Amino acid sequence: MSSGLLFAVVGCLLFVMGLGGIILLDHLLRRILAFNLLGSGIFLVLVGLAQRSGRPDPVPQAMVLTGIVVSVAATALALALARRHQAAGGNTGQTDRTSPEERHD
Amino acid sequence: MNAALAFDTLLALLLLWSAWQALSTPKLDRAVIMFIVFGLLLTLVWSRLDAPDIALAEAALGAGLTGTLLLDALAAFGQTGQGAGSTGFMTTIRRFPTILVLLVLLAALLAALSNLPLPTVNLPAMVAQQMPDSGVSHPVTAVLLNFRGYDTLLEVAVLMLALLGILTVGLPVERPLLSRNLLVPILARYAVPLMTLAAIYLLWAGSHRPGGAFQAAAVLAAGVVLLNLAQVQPRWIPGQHWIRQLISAGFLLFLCIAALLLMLNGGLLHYPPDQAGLLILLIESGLTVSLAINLAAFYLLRSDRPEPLPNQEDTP
Amino acid sequence: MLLDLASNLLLLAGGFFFCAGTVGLLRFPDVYTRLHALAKADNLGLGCLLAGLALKADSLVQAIKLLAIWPLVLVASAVVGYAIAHRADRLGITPWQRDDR
Repeated sequence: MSSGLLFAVVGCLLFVMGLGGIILLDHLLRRILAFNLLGSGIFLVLVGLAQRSGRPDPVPQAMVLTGIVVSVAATALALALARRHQAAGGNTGQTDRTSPEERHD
Repeated sequence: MNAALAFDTLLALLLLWSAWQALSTPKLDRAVIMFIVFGLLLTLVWSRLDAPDIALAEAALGAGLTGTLLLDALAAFGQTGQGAGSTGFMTTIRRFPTILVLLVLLAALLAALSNLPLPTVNLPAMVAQQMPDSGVSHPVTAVLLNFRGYDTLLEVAVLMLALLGILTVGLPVERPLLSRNLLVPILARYAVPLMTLAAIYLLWAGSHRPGGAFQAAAVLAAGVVLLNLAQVQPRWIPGQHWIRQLISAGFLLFLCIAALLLMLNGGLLHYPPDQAGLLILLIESGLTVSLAINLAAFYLLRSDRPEPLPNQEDTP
Repeated sequence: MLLDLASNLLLLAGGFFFCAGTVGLLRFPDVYTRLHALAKADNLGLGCLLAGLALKADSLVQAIKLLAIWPLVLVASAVVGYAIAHRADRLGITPWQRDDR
């Protein structure tokens, strides 16, 4: 097993972990973490399989570069929405929340 | 199993362990820290997979900027103790069907990986064949800005849209820090010029070695975030014109060059081979500046304590 | 040959110092002592690693680039260590005393 294939397998595992996290977890912030893991898993599959033809294939690498930048943007937007949701008193899946005045900051 | 594969296996196990910890640990701040660790380990993995451009971008953006945004969101959510989402993860019986389906999905993916068809098109050879006409000598940059330039154009638009989304969510309120740190401004004074120099080098180096506009933009954005942490740069106000102008300038430059080439050469982003290098450098310079402002704006324009919604009463 | 031997010894020393720093991170009782372990042992380990790699480098420019990483990391870790300790002090965390359990 080459290292590319090994990391493609790891990518599949991360994808399934991330997907499970989004479905099964309650807290919004953890779901965002799971979403990032899902994206990283997909990138690993892309680049791991790019090693197949001997030379590193630049096209999947360019796509993954684009993907990382876009997933940063998506994470930023998701965090902004989650914070707004939480500040407006919505349910964020948090079971033990300290109010902003109680925490040390 | 040789030493390289043993090292890769160890790296893969650490990666999976840190990802699992990020999802399942009860304390939320530990989860975010484990995610940052995951990002740094992933940087090592990209280096092992002969993808230095991706390693640069992952270190700066995936571990760095995403980690900063998450830590800041953590502060806004409040420190949570036990029970922050750990209660549901693996304990309730009704989650069993979901887990079963996920395991079946995993088995299907691994089966698909084990009998992959051989690639019908030899992409690396095609890229290498077209490289002399592309204007740059680094294949990933050539793919990003020449062969798949349209994707990059749309990606910049996506970043701008994400920023628009963040702006509609709430207005930033400056929250005073707990303590006035004395050393971080001194560090910022020396580090930010060095980071600017590194960003310019990365931009120029992208044409013949790993580097390019995105990595340069990430380093510049990190410099701006550092200035904010040093309390030298206050948070941006959404109505300020120069932010909007700088962010859209890079995208507009790219779009204008693409439209010009459409009119002259009959194809979107069909560079004339002798001027391709110059055009790519021009586009990348514009992209570096505007993407740096855009990425920094993700951090500096985030809202902290937004205004209450219009029809919200006192009682919940 | 001698260069190779020196390089390998430096790499091993770097690994040892990193292990020592990690053991300190895991075993020390409070945040201040853990910062000691990280800021001192890990940076010394990094210096040894970089020196060992610089001896194996292909050209002088590459060796200088490798060695230039060390002062940057030193400065960054010094500032970050101070920031963490300052905030811990502000949060009221007192240093561990021998009679604490």
